[in-house]
Amino acid sequence: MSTTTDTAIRPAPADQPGGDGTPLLELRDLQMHFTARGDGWFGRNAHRIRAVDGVSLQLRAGETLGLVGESGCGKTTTGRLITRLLEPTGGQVLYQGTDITHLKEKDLRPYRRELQLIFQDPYSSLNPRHTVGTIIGAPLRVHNLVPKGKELDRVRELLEVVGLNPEHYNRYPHEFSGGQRQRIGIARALAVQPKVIVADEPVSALDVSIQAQVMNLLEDLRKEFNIAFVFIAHDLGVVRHFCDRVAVMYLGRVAEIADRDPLYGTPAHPYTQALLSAVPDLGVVRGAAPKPRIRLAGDVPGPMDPPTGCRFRSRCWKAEEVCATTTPPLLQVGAGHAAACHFAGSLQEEAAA
Amino acid sequence: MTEPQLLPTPGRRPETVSRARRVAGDRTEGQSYLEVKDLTVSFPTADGLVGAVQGLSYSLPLGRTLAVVGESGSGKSVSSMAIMGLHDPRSTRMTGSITVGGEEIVGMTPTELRKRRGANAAMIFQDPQSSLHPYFTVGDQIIEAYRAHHRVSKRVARDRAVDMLGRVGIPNPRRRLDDYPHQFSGGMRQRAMIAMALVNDPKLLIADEPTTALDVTVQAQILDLIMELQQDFGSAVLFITHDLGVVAEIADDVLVMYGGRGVEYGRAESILGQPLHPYTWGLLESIPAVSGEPARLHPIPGTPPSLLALPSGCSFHPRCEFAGRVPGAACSVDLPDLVSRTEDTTRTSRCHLADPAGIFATDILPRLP
Repeated sequence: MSTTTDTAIRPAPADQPGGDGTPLLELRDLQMHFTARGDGWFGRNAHRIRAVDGVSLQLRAGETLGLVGESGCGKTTTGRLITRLLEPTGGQVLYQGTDITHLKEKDLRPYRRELQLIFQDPYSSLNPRHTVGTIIGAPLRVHNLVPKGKELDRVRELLEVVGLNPEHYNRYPHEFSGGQRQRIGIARALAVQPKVIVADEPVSALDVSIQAQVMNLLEDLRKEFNIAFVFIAHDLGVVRHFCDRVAVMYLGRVAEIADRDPLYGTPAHPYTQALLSAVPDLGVVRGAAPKPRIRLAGDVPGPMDPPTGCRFRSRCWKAEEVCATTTPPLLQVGAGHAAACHFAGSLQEEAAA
Repeated sequence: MTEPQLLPTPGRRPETVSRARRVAGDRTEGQSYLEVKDLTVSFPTADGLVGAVQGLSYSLPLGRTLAVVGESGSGKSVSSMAIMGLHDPRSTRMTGSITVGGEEIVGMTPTELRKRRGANAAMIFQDPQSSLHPYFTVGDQIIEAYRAHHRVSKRVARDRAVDMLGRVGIPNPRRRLDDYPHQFSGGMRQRAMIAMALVNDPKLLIADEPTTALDVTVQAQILDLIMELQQDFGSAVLFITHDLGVVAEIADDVLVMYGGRGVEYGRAESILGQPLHPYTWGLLESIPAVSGEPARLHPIPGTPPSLLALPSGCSFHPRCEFAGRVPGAACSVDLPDLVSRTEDTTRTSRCHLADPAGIFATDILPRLP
């Protein structure tokens, strides 16, 4: 565990663009509250949906950070805030020390080149009326990256990088399978040579055998181009495989963040423990000892009206009065390991035992 | 939300394993309730005949859970829909035989099918959002399912529905009965679907990817519920999934499908611990584990075959790294039979490799996570 991971939890050092201490990407107390139309006069009883409610994260160059959680935990919204597809309603997004939280579209453009997104659904994220060449060439044209006439060469090169036949640039998305389409989406993200790729459930729509192919491709690309990844997924096995560091989200907040091994080995937050114990495990049939089972009751509450204090308390078996009154801060429980739970320390001992 | 509670079930897993062993021990007693013999389902299309299921045979006795595993296009859903008689006879060609409780399903008229659907056999679908009717309350839909097969008053049917909702763990069932599906969460909708499927005490429950759309913590709840109900009702469960972790959790037996055919069949421990088909090896090596040292994944190359033009011989041979080990070009010419190569005659695989266990031990086992 390096000391640099500790900075994930400590308050950020002073901004020094390019300096050693500056993370590539930093989120500070990021918030995204949507307003849902109410049912009163002119939508008067409007609700606020707190999709992301105070998320602070840091990402270093070349690192892979996993965001896991169940539906509605705000992981996708966080990804969209990082890439500024959404404008945050509070907090800051810093890219190499520059605040890009509220930049206008024109000023944002250079940063869009550096921060790319891979989408979950390879069917709806490619325009069916455009050829693959047009799709992958679009970012090249927008950012003026290649001289006229050289575009096709670059498109072919990109197709080859992601393992597709470079002569297929003239085909349409429907001529490709799901896994191949996801490769096209990856080629489009790579076209602008980004420093950060936010991958939003990039393999969850794919069959198991194809999923492994795409995972291996992403891993090769990360090593080859030293791209930092924010890897959003609900599959804990996939995240464990791909990520150096993992943040577990629950109802718009980070419940726990740690390097991979401590997170999976000695989880400190009850939600992480429950999540890990709920994953069906193949090991048992091969003779591994069965893990203790924690079964949570009920579903995740809606982000419209989250529980007071600790948001997990309505499903938590450790919940006491303090959990309803005081929001637990994200506190360090080990090297590079922080959890937002009043009982984190004792729980971690239990998990390790 | 309900009272927070912890439901620790220490030793739950050894229990389920021992249940599997116990039942397997008295296998001779178990009369198979569902019998599929040489089933072929194909759909004529403008591009040609799509052979979705080809020569599929298996049987399932009461009290056991059979997991049907495969990727999209393997025929796992099409074959289970055939058991329910859900294919439109005008656009489907079906041959072979399916018997449920001794009754032949293939060739039954729609009226005959409707009488049986939901009574002897019931089905739970993947997406609880789209399989409940949004215009009717959850209660109406369960009551309708019950009264379709029982001549009882609305009042009796209503009590029965309340009973079922309570049984699948919906808190305050009498009040929730009059809620519309959109007022239920995803997990609760799937519980309501299960209540509706079980309201007529079916002997056969078909669950088609029932937890794929759910979060892991909710998935764990639903899997527990299905296992619990199966033990209470003693029914046969056909569980369709692509998730081998889920298979490990709930299945007694496993059928692996590829390109419309069964390629491997046997007890769950045996299929997952000692697989005998290269496709199953590939699947197991493609899954990143939640424990153990992360290693590079070993995916199956290529893509699943098109059902319009299946490869000759063994449909898996273009993707199989062991095809070269078989003398001659047998893999690309002859379709291997689904036969047993071990002492256990029910343990079958469809592969030309004469001694696949040998390759499994030398080549595959060291690679598995």
